[in-house]
Amino acid sequence: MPTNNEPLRIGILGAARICAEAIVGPAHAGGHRLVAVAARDRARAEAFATSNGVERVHDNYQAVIDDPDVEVVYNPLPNSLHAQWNIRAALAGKHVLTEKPSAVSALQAREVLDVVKHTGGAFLEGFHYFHHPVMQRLLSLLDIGELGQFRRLEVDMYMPAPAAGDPRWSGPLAGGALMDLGCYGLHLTRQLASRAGGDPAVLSARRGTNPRYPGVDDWFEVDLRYRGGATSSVRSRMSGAEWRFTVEVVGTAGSAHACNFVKANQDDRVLVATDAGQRIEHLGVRSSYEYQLEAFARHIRLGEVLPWGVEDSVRTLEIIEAAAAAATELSAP
Amino acid sequence: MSAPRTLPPPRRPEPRSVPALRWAVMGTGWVARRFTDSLHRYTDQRVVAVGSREAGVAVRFAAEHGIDRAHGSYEALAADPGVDVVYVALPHQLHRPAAELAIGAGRHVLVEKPLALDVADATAVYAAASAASVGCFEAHWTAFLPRTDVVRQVVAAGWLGELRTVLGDHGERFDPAHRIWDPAMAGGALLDLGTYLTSFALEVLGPVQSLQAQGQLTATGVVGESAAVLTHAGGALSVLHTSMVTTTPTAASLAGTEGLLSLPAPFFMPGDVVLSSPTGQEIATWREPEPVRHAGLYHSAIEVAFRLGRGELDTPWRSQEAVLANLAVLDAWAAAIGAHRGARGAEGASHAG
Repeated sequence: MPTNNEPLRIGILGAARICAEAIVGPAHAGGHRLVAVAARDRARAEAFATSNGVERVHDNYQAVIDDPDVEVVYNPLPNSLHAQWNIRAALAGKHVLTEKPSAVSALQAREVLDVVKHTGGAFLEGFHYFHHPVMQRLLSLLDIGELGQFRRLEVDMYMPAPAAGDPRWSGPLAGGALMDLGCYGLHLTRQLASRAGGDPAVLSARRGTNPRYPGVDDWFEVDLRYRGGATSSVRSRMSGAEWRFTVEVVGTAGSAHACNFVKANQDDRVLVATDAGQRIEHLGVRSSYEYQLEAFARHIRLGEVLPWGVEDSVRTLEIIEAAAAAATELSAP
Repeated sequence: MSAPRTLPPPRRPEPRSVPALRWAVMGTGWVARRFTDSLHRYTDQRVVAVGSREAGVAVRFAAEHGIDRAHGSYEALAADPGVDVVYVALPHQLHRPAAELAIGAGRHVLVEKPLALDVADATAVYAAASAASVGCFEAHWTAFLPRTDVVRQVVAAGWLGELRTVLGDHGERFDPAHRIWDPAMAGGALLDLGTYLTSFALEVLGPVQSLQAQGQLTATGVVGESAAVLTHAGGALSVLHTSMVTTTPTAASLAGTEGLLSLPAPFFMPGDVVLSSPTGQEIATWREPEPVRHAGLYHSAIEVAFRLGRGELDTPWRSQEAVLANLAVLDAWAAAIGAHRGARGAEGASHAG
C-alpha cells in the first residue's frame, strides 16, 4: 500500500567505495534512513556505519536482508555477486536497488527476474544516469522534434586505469570495460529503441586487453543498428588518459551532446546544435544517484512507474552478451 | 566422533574435463530454454539441434540460442545423425513416448523429471534403453549438485551419528494458468515439487517401509497440498510437506543423534550446507559459490557426459533403481490421499471400486 512521505529504510550489503556517492549521499539528501550495513570485515562495517550514519551493523549480508526494519536492500557488491544477493533480498520480500549490471549473464538475470516477479517487490537496476535531467533533456529534444528524426547515438566512456587490485580488473568478479562501462552505452542504446523504430542489433564489436590484466577487457567497442536504420556506437576504455563520459544524439535536424552523462554533477552541460544555431544548456548539478533514489522512493511509496520494467535487466544483459559474442580481439592500440 | 571444522568439498567433475557432447533438445518451453542457456554458459556441451511440433517455434528457439538445426517434428529430431544425447523437456505425459522415440533412434537420453508417470512406464523406458544399449538418465538435477555431494560425504563419514529424521517442505504457489493445475498435463504438487522431498528422504534414509498422508486436491483435480510421514529402517522418519497452492519455506534438514545438517531454502537448488551440533552451534558451512537457481541445470548434463565418457549408461548418483524407488513412493503418496495416477497420467480423485 503506497504511503506518502515516509523515509525509505535501506540496508546496505558491503561497505563499498561507491556507497558514499551512490546511496549515502542520496539517502541523506532525501531524508531516507540507512538502517543497517554488513561487510566481510566487521570493523570495516562499523567504521562505515559511524562515518555514514548507518543505524546498526550486522555480522553478514543475510542478516541485513533479514532485518525486519530493512525494506530496501542496496547491492553494491562486485558484479559476480549481484545475482545471488539480489535473489536473496527479493526472496526475503525486500525491494532491491542493485548496482549495474543486475547479474553477469542473461541466464542469471532471468533467474533474478523470476524471483522478483514471483515475490512482487520493487526492483531497480542502478543505471542512475538515466534519471538525471541531462539525459532526460536529450530525450526531450528528440521527442519535441528539435533534432529531427533520430539517426545516430555515440557513447564514449573512457576512464583512467583503476588500481591493480580493483574488482573491475577481475575476471572472476566479472569486471572489464564491457561489464563496467560499456553496459551504460548499451543500456542507453536500448532505451532509444522506441524512437528508432525498433530494437537494436549488434553489427560488430572489437575488444582488447591490457597485458598487465589478462583475461579482462581493457577496451571494448560495439556498433549497433536499429530496426529503423539508425545506428549506435558505444566505445569504452578502462585505461584512458582521461575521464570522458559523453553522449551525442544526432538527428536529421541537429544534434545534442551531453558533456558528462554519468557524472552530470561535474559537468551538467548539454550542447545543442541545430540549423537555428548553437547553445549551451545547464541542467543541474545534483547527482544522478539522488534522482535515482528519488525515483525509486516515488515508485515504492506512491506507485509511480519507473522508466523501465523489471524485464529490462534481462534485455540489457542479452545485448551485452551479443556484443561479447560478436567481439573480435584486437591487440591494444 | 570429532566434528569437522570444514565440510568436505564436492567431488563434481570439472565441466571442461568431460567429453563435449552434441545435444538435441526436445521441447522449447521454459526448462528447455534454461537448460540450453545453462549448458552454453558454463560448459563445452553444445545444443546442436532442437525439435518442436511446430517448425516455426523450433526455428525461433534455434535462432535465439545459437543452435545449428531446428526440426519441425520429434521424429526428425530423433533421426538427426549429428546428435549424441537427447534432452527430453516436453510435458510429463510425453516423457515416455519421447524417450522411446529417441532411444529407438539409438540416442542416449536425459529425460526431465519425472522420467515417466509411474513405475510401469519408467520400467518400460529403461527396458528399451537397455535393449538399445544407450544411456537413460533422469534429469533430477538436485542429485548432481555440489551441495548434494557434500551431504553424501557428511552422511558417509558418520558425523551426524545415527540418522533419525528428515524434515522437508516444498511449496510454491503457481499462477492459475500454469500447467501444474491441469490434470491432462499430469499436474499436481507431487511430480513437480514433492519429488524433490521423496528423493532426498530416500537418498539419506533409505527405502520407505510405510507411508501415511493427508491432503487436498485442487478444484481442477490435481494434488494441491499434502503432508506425508514416511518410515524407514530402524524407525527413522521423514516428515514431508508439499503445496502448489502456497509458497512455503522450502528448506530441508537431516537430523542424526550427533548432528543436524540443514539445507537452506531452496533446498533442491544450488545452495549452502550447514552442519550444527546437537547443542545448536553451527560447526561448519559449505558455501555454494554461485547460488543462482536454474543456472545450475547444467550439472545434469555434465554428469551424463562424464558417465557416457567412461562407457557407463547409468549414474550411481541417480540410478535407475533410485528413479523407480522414487516413483513408487510418489505412487504410494498419491494413493494415500485418494489421488489416482495411472498410465494415462492424470491425477484425480480415484473412482469407487
